[in-house]
Amino acid sequence: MSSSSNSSPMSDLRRDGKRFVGCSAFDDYELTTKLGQGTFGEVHKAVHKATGSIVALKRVLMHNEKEGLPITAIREIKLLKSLRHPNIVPLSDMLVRHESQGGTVTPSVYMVFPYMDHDLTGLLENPKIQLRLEHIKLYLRQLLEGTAYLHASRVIHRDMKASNLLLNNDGRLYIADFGLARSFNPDERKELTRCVVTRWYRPPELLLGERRYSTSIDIWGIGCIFAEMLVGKPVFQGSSDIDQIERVMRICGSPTSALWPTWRDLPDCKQVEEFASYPRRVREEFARFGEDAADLLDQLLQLDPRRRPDAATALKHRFFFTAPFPARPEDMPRFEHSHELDRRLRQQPRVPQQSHPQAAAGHSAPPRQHQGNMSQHSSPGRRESNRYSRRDDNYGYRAPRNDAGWEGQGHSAATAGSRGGGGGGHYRGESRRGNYNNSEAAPSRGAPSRNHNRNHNGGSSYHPYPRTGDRANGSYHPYPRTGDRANGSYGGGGGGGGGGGGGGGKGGYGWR
Amino acid sequence: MATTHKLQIYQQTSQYRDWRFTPESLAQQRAANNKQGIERVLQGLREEAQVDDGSGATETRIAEATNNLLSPQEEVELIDYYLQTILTYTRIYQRDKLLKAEATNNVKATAINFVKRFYLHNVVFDYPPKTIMLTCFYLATKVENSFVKIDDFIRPLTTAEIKRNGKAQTKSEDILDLEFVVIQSLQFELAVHHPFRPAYGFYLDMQAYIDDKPLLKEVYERTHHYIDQSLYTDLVFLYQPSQIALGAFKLAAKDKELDIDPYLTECFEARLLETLYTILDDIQEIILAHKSITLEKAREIDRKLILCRNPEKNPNSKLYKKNAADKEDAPYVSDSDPE
Amino acid sequence: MSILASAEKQNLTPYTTKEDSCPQCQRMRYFNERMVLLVGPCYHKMCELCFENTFASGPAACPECQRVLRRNEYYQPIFEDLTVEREVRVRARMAAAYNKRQEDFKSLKDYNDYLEMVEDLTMKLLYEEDTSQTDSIIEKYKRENNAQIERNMSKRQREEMIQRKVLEQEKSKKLQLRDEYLRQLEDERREKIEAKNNIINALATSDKSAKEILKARTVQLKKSSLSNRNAGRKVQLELEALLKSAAEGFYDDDDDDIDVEEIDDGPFDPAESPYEPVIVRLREQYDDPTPAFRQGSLAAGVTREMHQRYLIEGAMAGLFEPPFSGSAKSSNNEGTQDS
Repeated sequence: MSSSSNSSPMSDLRRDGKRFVGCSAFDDYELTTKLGQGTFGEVHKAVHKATGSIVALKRVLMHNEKEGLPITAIREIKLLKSLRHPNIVPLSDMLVRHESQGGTVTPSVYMVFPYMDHDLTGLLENPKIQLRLEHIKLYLRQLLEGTAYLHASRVIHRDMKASNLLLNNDGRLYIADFGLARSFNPDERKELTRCVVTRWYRPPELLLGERRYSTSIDIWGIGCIFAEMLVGKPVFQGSSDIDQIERVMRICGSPTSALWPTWRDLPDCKQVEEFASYPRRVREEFARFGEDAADLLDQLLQLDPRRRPDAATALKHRFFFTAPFPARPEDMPRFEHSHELDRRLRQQPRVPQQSHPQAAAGHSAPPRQHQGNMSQHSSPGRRESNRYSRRDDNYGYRAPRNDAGWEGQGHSAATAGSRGGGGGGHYRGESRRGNYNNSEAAPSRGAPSRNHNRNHNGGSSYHPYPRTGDRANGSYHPYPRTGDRANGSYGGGGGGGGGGGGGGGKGGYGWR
Repeated sequence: MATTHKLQIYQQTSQYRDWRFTPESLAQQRAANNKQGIERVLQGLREEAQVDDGSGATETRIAEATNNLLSPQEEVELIDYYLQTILTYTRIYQRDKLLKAEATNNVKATAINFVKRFYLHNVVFDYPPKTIMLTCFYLATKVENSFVKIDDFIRPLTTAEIKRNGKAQTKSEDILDLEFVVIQSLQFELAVHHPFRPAYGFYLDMQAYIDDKPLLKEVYERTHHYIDQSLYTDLVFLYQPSQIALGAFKLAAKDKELDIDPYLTECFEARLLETLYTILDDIQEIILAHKSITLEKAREIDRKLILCRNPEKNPNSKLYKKNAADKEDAPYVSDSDPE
Repeated sequence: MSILASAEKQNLTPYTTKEDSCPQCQRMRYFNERMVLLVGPCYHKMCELCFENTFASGPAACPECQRVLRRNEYYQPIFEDLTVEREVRVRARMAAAYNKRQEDFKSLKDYNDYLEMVEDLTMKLLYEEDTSQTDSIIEKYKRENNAQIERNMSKRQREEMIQRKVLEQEKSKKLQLRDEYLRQLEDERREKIEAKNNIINALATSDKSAKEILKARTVQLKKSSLSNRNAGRKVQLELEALLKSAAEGFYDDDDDDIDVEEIDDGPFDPAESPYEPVIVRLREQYDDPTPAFRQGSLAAGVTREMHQRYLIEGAMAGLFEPPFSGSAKSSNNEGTQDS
């Protein structure tokens, strides 16, 4: 039943919001704010005219039109459309738009996602939010459930990190950004690319050159995310691949035959020999969060991928079955705003993170997530496209940019303080507050370093203080209302300070 | 394996959610498409008549078209012919090492599946199957991780055309232009599950229960033939890939005189097996009943199609060109079928 | 007559309050903290002193109900509320006799009927209706089903034992690994230092060229690290074997009720995963067409077992799905999210 080409009836259909099977018209939506921009496309916040629902539109750029729709986009669409789970971001719609410019018709494709207010990175960076253990349990459990489904559907995500976890105001967590994900068929002899996973979340086997990795790389990432929720900032912030290995070893121990029998079979195992022998001390390091948490973390962060539990097994850990029990989703926004901002100022040398002078009041949550993953771990061939800057007119946040990932040009910034407030205090709360007093500060706070994106303009005025305005006021609301976040980091920043989006976050929408 | 009310992973796939039918609903859908398609053809021809400034030729054309309209069955048959060519082309690409060995089955099966799904929402009057088939194939190489670049893709086709007719006909734009139409008709749901992997799984599992291993291996190899056959049928819309695989296995086993019923009774509870046997019987029947259309018949239908093709969608028609010219300033709105 | 051991024997602290008092002498615990209240088969209590007095010279009548009892029929109750105590003991007695499980029944209904019957009897005992009749029913049942009762009881005991063993093994394995690991660290460190020293010495003293010396040393180092690796693997294998044998020790070929391997995986708790588990029994050897996996497992990541498990699971998925019965496919493209 093809439709005829000129159809006022058809446009009428579209106007009253009836969605076509499979694909909608671009005109059904009204674009509001741009959430991010990069070489790989743009993300806009938009409103579906007929229903009023708020979405994020991610545009698929078509560089190489010679080959039609890019394979990367096809892969992502295929995966997203075939997955369906409460904790996986839903691809609600696809839009195709043909723009005719001077005789030629250029098609563009948009992916439509429901708009989410935050991502985990933003939440963690928000000084007003203090995640308690019951909240962490709720999030971790949802993360594991989504991952269990993913793995059962034979998909590896390959880019697990906090900025790819979107959170909505109902306490729900969504795994997003499937730009690097792929179906995982064990009978393919092909070796998989090493250029996956953002460095800070990269598991040891990948760092040592494993080509035939499996779902356990996601589990490692989940371990890092769990630790990050506990501590308040990413735990292994390596500035280069070698640095990453060492940082991992410092806590997880050097690989030995007892801990990881097959480690010497990996191509790059020699690198390890440069270092001292570190004992494993995961439990000790995280003991202060409780024995259950430390034990679960110890299992997730096993050096040997075969010893890591799979997601379904991890869900049975007693961590989820002991007090304090995981919060119920309806209880989530229960953060008391009685927590005053800590007056302790911890000035840390921080790489200046650029904040746009307009940062100003109330605007902008840095659309952290809108940065392509590619910046962090693309293969050399694609590096070229990493050099992009985020010109976020609306959002003060500008991710400092450095050369990402793959070649790892040290980014000092990354290691510097980044998340303000140093690690201290548990569940991230206290320490972070240290850095922020009220101010106009640009949303960017810390963590952009995480994504190793540095502003090539060099110095950015780093404002350690959160902005005033709706966020800084007493009514602490951890999940900014969509209204104010006009900028919405699409899923970006947590409340206040727009959580600087973990550095150019790659945002959940796989914004690239 | 007990059936419970818990979720099953396979039930979350798009194939399960959106692309299952009954034989009746398939027929209804195709009949409805066909009817509407014909209306549009006639409408298009009438519109073209106006563009034509009454040269009278169009009147004849309308009459010709009306006498040569394709029935839903003929549509299916014509499409069937092009599904066969997918298999031919697969061999060629394999020979030219353009397809990865392990992906070949999936590419060909996905391509066939895309064509079939496409024509559940479109008609051959608007989109003749030849180029659609090529587009689906091209798309399938992308989807199944065995991408063939457009130039490499075209080459075997143009080479054959040159040899046959002296000049190349197929152009890459033909294929690329249709990519969007196809992918939208597929609702962007690109993940298709085929019987090949379940068959492989059964082969492994049966090894524990069947003693004659060499014979089992032969049966497994023969199963592929029946799976290939099943691809032409509507089985993919009616049953699950694992069921089709087992049905094919049974047919192959019958050919080689191996009895696999002991495996089934050993593994599965009796009450479940009852329903399974009915399903398997149906599957086997459908596979065996399929008759591939002959080249002659396909040619015949094709000739008719030339006469009743919808000018509105035919890039070579006057009407199409006129519409394109008119629309140059206005943004082109993509067509998707409303449902 | 009581099945449950007294509180004392089980090392439980009976619940006490300061206001507890002996019905006979009215002494309160307030005055004597270590007063012990005993209870008889008629569930009437008395304090130790009264008990001694009453039963000083052999059997006597219970002060409250006049039932004639002996000394050894009194014990320390677990629960303060004697009705609870009574009910618990009655039920324990019933459970010892009526220990069938769901899998012993053909259908859920039969199991429920059985449970209802047991509950009826229990109620009769508790309310002391037709006690003698009920008793005889129970005795009769015990006699008739003696074998089954024994079997079920030993099944349960075995299960508990296996679980305990597995936990122990895990614990000791962990400890051993930890020791091994520390030892390894130590060894490696020492080796490194030694090697360094040797090189320095050699360079200093011998008159070979530096290059030669270094070359010789690297060869030596490689050899030693290889042996370390092997040692490490050996330990690993030993431990794995230990674990397996602990479980295997209980595997009884005749009894196919318990599959020890499945216990290893952990019973699947439906409350925790929403997806139906596919139970697959993996065999040791398969003739697998995918060559890469013929050699066994690979380094990290995909193993042969995983590969085969996935395939077989895939073969089972949807096998019993009934044919589609709805009419049109869902045109709801609402991606996935609901509420």
